[in-house]
Amino acid sequence: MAHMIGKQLEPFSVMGYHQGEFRPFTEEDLTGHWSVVFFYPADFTFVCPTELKDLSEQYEGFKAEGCEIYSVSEDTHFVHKAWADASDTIKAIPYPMLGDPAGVLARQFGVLVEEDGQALRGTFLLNPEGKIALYEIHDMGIGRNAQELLRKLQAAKFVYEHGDQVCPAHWHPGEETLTPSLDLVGLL
Amino acid sequence: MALQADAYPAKSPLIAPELEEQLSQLLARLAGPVTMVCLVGEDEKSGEMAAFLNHVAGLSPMLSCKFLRPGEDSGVDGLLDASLLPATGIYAGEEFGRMVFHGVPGGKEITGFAAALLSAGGAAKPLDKPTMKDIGKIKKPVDIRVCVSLACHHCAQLVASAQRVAWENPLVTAHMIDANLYPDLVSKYQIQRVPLTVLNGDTTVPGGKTMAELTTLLTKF
Repeated sequence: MAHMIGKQLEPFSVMGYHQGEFRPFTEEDLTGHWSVVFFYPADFTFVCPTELKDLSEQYEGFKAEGCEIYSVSEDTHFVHKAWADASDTIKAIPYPMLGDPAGVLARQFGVLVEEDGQALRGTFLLNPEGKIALYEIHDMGIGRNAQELLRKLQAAKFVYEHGDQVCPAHWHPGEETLTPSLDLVGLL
Repeated sequence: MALQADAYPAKSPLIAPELEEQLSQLLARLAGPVTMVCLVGEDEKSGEMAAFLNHVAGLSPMLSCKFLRPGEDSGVDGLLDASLLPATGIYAGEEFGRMVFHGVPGGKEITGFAAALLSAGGAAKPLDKPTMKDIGKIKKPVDIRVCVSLACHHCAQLVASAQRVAWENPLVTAHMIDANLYPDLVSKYQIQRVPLTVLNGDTTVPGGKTMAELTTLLTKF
């Protein structure tokens, strides 16, 4: 199975719901800045609101990194609005909710379960050129963690801006000194 | 009065027989005396570093080590930066070589440490003429602090390059800092990835660098 890292976002046009308004969204909206495309199976379910709320709570952190979030389900934008009207949690969502009833986006990102007409829980981070920098796809019942996604965004931005000549540092005070390994003898 | 070397163990468990053999072969190339001057505290890492230096010193008659407490010699405190203990400066005989290690150069950092000893002992591989010319173009004093983790291979190469630049250009000093030992430093510079290079205390440059990239950076600094 081929991976999708580096895959270019393809042209699309869907309708979205954003804080009480309907408007079209295309690939141009998702380029020129970092974007998270966040698929979930359907509106009016139980795990989804907790994930979407988790993202709402971390939203300022994503904006501070110059990243917009787009949640996507296979519902229409009208259903998104109905859900927002019925739920204070959804009404407070600060990011656009895209409607994908034709499966255009879910197919493009490989998360559509055709027989159910629902999307797997897929998260895709696109760089400003619209290329996939990282992604994770969960089975239906497995939730995601917005704080961890924010950490990954920061790491992806760093590599995008500075190259990959770095190692992640996980500081553990009191760690034992690593046994030396003289493996750059060519330098000497 | 300086601490006696025999105040610390003569051998370090960090130097396994295979590494000892490799180091012995490298250090056999030393053409002049090299002194490892270490500022030690009462902490565990200082004791670990002292044993490490004792062990290394035993691998060549050209090597010696000297242990000092902070405050014993203000000149050394300033040169090696006594705020980050243990701090070990590499000297060509009595002359400060401007190559300093904070922490214990375990993991990948043993390479930079061995390179520093070879430089001070007149046994480093010669650099090509363009590189020497680039190093000579650095006309302003630069204090390079490379914050590393011991498992990071990008860090090891950068430390070796920075210290070679320091050895070749008297305006440059290069410190390796095992950032894991200094949480205040990690907090101050918000270090999440290594290497992170700090120039003259306030300019931070992330990521590994080749020798050419480093000299370009330093000449434009």
